[in-house]
Amino acid sequence: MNSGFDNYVVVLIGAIVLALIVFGVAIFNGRQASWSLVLKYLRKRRIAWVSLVAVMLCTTMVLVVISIMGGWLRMFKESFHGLGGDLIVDSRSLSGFAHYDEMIERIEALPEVAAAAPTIQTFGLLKINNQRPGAVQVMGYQMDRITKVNDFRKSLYRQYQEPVDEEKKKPEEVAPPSFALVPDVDYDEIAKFRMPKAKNYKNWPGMIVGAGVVGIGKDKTGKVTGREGLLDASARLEVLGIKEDMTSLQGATPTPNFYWIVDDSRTQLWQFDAKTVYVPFDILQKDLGMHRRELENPDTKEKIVEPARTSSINIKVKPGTDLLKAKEKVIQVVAEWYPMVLEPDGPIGVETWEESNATWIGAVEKEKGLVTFLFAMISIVAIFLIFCIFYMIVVEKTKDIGIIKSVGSSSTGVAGIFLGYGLAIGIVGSMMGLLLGWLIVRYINEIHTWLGKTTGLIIWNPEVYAFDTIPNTMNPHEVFWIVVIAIASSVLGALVPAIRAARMNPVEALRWE
Amino acid sequence: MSQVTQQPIVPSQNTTPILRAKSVSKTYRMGDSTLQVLKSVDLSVKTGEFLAIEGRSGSGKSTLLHLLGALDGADGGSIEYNGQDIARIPAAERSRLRNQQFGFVFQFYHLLPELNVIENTLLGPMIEFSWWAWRQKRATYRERAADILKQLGMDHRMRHRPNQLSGGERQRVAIARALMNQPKVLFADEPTGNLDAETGRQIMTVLEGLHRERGQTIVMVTHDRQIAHRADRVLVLKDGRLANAEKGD
Repeated sequence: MNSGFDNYVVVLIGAIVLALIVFGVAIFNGRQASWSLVLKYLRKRRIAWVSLVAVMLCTTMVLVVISIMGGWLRMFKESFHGLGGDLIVDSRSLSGFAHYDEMIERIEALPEVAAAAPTIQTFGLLKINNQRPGAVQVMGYQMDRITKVNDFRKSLYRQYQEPVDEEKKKPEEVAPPSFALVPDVDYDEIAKFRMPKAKNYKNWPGMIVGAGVVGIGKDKTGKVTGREGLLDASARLEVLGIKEDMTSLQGATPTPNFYWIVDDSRTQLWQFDAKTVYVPFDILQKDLGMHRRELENPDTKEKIVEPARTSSINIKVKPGTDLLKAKEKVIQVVAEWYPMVLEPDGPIGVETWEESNATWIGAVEKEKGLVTFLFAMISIVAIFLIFCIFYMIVVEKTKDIGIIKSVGSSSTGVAGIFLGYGLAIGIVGSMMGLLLGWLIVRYINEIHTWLGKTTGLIIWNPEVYAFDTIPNTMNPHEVFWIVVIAIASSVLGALVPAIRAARMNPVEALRWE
Repeated sequence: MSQVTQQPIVPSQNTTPILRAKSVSKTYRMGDSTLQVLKSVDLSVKTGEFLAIEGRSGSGKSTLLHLLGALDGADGGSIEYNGQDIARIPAAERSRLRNQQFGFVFQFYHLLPELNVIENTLLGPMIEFSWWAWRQKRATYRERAADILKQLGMDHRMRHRPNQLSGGERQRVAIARALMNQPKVLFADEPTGNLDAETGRQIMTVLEGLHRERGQTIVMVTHDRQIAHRADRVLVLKDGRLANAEKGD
């Protein structure tokens, strides 16, 4: 929450400075009588309080919506970025591409690149213990390399979150993650009890499962549940090797393998956490038939070497590097083996993390835009409300306008009273809205948990919104503009009534009944 | 009630016309018909003069006062203030003229209900100065306002709102507001029209005192002949035209 807190401080300072500037300019130019009347009207005309509440609620509403939608988008981007690294060399077919080790060697030699790691992505049928099997996405990771490229380590409960978040260890004190079996677990006992016929079970590799795959989640009170017995579980994963020349699944041989579950991963991206398991790269590569093979031509008896293949290479660039420049250099490296990388729709491509997840990020961006537009439309109602109230006030105050003009106020001075009135309502209303909006956004998860506890109402479904917590930070830039627009809208609502007041003939105004 | 005894602002015997109306006409449109309330009115007001314009209700006397006070524009003819045609002055300058040179007292007082007595009195200078400039001058003007209110016997009511005052008290506050910027001309539109006879007499005593002690130029319109004849000169507005009236007429 520290960065969030900093954001709030920046937001508050920005908003106060803005209000002071607007107020200062108005004060230095506005007549004393105008300000006296603005303050009197603000205090004594209760109808103006309706405008104040309208501005406050609209500001709060837009702030909360934009902060949550914006936070959602930000979390999406951060999670995708954290999971994929900065650049990705991606095969656009399930058969993958070869020569990745040579490529990685060349890519890591680039001055812009910090690290690179091969990953395999495929699909499989997973059966945990004796439960019914289900389809999953399978990721093959070289743990020592992938942790240098992405934030996968931070998503692991047993090997990172538990020691760091709960036991308060420093991240550098925690052992690097691996697929190795859990030392405290008595696999002999489990096998004897649950799988008496199983052999060689001590050599089964470890598997990390997405938290949602095994039903780990938060209940209505926000408590994490479903982790009990996880590390005792075994899994059977069946994958299907796809060759480059295959046009159908006929002829593909399913390859099963047994694993022990050694950890669970919570990337916070629900689509990953609900459907993905992570296994050692080499084992998955072998099961898919993507490993290096020496074959013999049955006709010529000539030996053929089929190089090892991977689905993708994830790359992390050094801080401050121009990502598009680094991408161009990586393309040149890949082109040495696969010149088709230079073609836009070739079977292999190099993408930035944003390009790679453009469909998801684009969808969320569009949704944010749509919701913002809808709420902006609702805010127009507030402007209209202010307009109506001010129009009523101008009509009610017609005689006062005549008096003020007879005592020497210019038309600009009269307009200034009502514009100043709108400005005061805008400033006070938007500041109240900012405070209320901040409180709601800051405590949105607590409010949501409380609602869940008391009414059973769950608005934020992680399966729909991808994350299991609601974003609770404000973007100072967005807040600044929302406050500016709220103040400007209030002045705009007062503009037509102010012009009407300014153009009033003083004699007609004095005779108004 | 004590009199307002500030320094004379103009020599009381000055004969220079401060206001002059030449062939002024004014017509009101009422649906399809038109009503010409002023027909070629000529008028001259000398500096330091107390002029009363007498006329029946609806005779156009308030209209004439509004035209002379730059609150409204004539349809024909011209009105000069110190030799300058008011219609040719830019709108902002006209507002300044009303603020600095003219003062208005109305039949229905026209005080701002949200402001108290002292704030209503200070309205003129508060319109004149920006918030920042007002900070520097507030003390001086408050002192002056308090002084005027004291002379008008209203010093004990300074924090009261108009709805807490009697008619006579409201009119005295209106006079105080009109005097605040030391106007060259004070326009009074039926100043006693909404008051009982005794209070009306008191208000007239105040106006007479201003004229006598300060040499204040006053243009007053009234339907009350007795009140009108307390002025130096009385004109009668009838059928849209002005005519002289003899004292005791």
